[in-house]
Amino acid sequence: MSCGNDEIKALLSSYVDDVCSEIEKQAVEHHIVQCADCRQELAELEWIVTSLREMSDLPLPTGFCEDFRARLAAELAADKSPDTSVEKAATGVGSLKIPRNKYWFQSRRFVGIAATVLLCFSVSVIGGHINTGYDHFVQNGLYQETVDGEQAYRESAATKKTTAVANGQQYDGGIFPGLSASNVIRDDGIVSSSRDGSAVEPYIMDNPYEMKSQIISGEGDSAFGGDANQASVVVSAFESGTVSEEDSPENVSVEMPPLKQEVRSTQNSQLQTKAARQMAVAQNASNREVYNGYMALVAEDVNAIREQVVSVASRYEGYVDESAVITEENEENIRLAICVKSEHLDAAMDEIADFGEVTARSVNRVDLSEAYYDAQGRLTRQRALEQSLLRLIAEAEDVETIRALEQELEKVTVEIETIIANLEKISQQRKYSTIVVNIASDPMAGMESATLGDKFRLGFQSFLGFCKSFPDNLLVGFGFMFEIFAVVLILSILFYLVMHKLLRKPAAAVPRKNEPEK
Amino acid sequence: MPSCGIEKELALVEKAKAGDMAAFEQIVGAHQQKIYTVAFRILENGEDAADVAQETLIRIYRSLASFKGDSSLSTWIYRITVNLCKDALRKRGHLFTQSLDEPISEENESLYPQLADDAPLPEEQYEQQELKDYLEKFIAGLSPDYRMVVVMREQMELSYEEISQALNISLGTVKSRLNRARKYLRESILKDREQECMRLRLKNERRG
Repeated sequence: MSCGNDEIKALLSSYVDDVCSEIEKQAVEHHIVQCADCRQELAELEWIVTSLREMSDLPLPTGFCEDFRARLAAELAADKSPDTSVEKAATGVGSLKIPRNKYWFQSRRFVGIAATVLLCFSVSVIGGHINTGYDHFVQNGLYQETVDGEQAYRESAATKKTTAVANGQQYDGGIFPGLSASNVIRDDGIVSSSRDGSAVEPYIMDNPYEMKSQIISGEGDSAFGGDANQASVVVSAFESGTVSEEDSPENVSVEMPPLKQEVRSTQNSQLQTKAARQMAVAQNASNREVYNGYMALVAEDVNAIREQVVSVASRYEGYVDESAVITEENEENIRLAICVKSEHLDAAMDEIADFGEVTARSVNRVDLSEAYYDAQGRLTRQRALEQSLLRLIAEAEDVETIRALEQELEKVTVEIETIIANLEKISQQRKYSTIVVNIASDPMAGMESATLGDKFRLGFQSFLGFCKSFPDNLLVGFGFMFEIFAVVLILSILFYLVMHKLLRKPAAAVPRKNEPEK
Repeated sequence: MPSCGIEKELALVEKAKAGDMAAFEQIVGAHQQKIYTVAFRILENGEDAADVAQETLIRIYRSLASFKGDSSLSTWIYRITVNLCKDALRKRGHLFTQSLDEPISEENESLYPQLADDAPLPEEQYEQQELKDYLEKFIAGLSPDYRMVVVMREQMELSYEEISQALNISLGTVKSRLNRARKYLRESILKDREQECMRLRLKNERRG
């Protein structure tokens, strides 16, 4: 039998889901009590609904996960943040970066902001150029030069020499990379060796500007500062290093014999050879200091002098350690570092001094004894440790202990070898003296008889220098202007936002399709 | 529905939001099969379903930050899935092009002829697969609009309100579509059973 009550039948579906109104619900319940057909249909609907709910999930197709990972990786790669790399995403680790919107860069707002940013960037950069350009103009002394060309030029030359001297000192400090830091610091000053009392360098000063630069560089003795205006020649007595002998070789030889005996007592031939090597090092180390020279020359033809200095190096069994050409403005400076056999240092320096006008000359002592004794002390300790270990190995009974001790011994042996290598290095360093020569082209050559034309030429050269270095200054300008740029940027963004708020028309609310609704 | 509790799910979401890829992987692992299944039942095409499911997961990844937790995570995910399914159907030109009054899909008219001759007999089918999975082909017989409502209601377990919001249709339309779809399903199942009885009878006669 079939029920023709379509009204009730239309409600059955809602009734199953319990979304009927109270009246509809009662109507349905009232009807199904008497109508078997509708009761049947309701039961069937209920069966369908529960069956549909209980349908099992389908298995994922093959390659689904791989495809998804590839797409996710592509998504991450397309993402603006490079820190979430493709590999990270593909392996499932790494940070999850949630982009705001896929097509953010297409929005008008972004284009507007980008344009603003670009505009204020260019404005600030151009401003920066003008600013630094002017700074450079003043710095170079070009401005003063129009008032008093010679005076200004002298000043700039003096500044340059300061840097040259500073360079030289820096280099002095860096000659011995093997030295401990304390040594380098102690010996880095030009006049620092006089503090030791072992060596006082001849210090020739014939240029008041050079003297000034010494003081500026913070290394000049205050006594020298008093002489600054006199432009006098300061010559200090040169005493060859006689002082620091008192605590050198005896100490070592006292230390050595008991060591040697112990080594012999172990009947360890390997150790014996090491001890012999080390003895040789100790004997050679009677003089554990090295003298390094510094010389500043002013000459017209810097390259010719460079050649001559190089030839000096080869004549005194040495070599050129460094050769650098520093071109500053329209001037060429050469920094040379040559190494000569330490016994030839004075002769070599005298010879170099003849090549040009000497503006600075110094000899400083680099004391290697501290590094040497440090190594010695460590060697003694390590040897003692080695002995006690050997003794313990001899006394040890079980294999486990012996193995542990032998491992310990191995470490000590390696340490001893390192120290011996260090000692050898020190003795090697001692054999060569380094002379750093700074050769500056003579800016004042013929300046005494400078005509108006020469002065003009000089001014023009300076101007050319300014032009040449202009690209560099542009870059510097970029750097300086960055902060200003940041401020301008923030202000511009604020301005933009305010304008955006003010000018925005009430937009029609068009809900976006394809977007997950909230 | 994934078995993990709501608190656990929210904790996972928070972790994933903070950049924990493992947490995101866990969310994906918990939902991907369901997403695929649902997409398959709406689209009735494995390739499209896989595509939509993957796209859904990508969308989840992309917009997880905007998930506020005012609905359950699965509801949120299903909304994305449904939207993408709608897009896919629109691309195919199937959605809203057919008469909304006719729940039967034209493309699946061949459903019954498919069962002819060499097809496994229904009794064997019952043995082979669960009775519930037997329903799969009847869902396929619905037109996409109806399929979507059924899947959303029955498999995603969304409320009438949620369905009406997601599909941008009135509550009444949701009710009527569900009503029609269920009626259709019931009728086709009954028809299928009749056919099956006939078949059995014929088979027995042939054998007998």
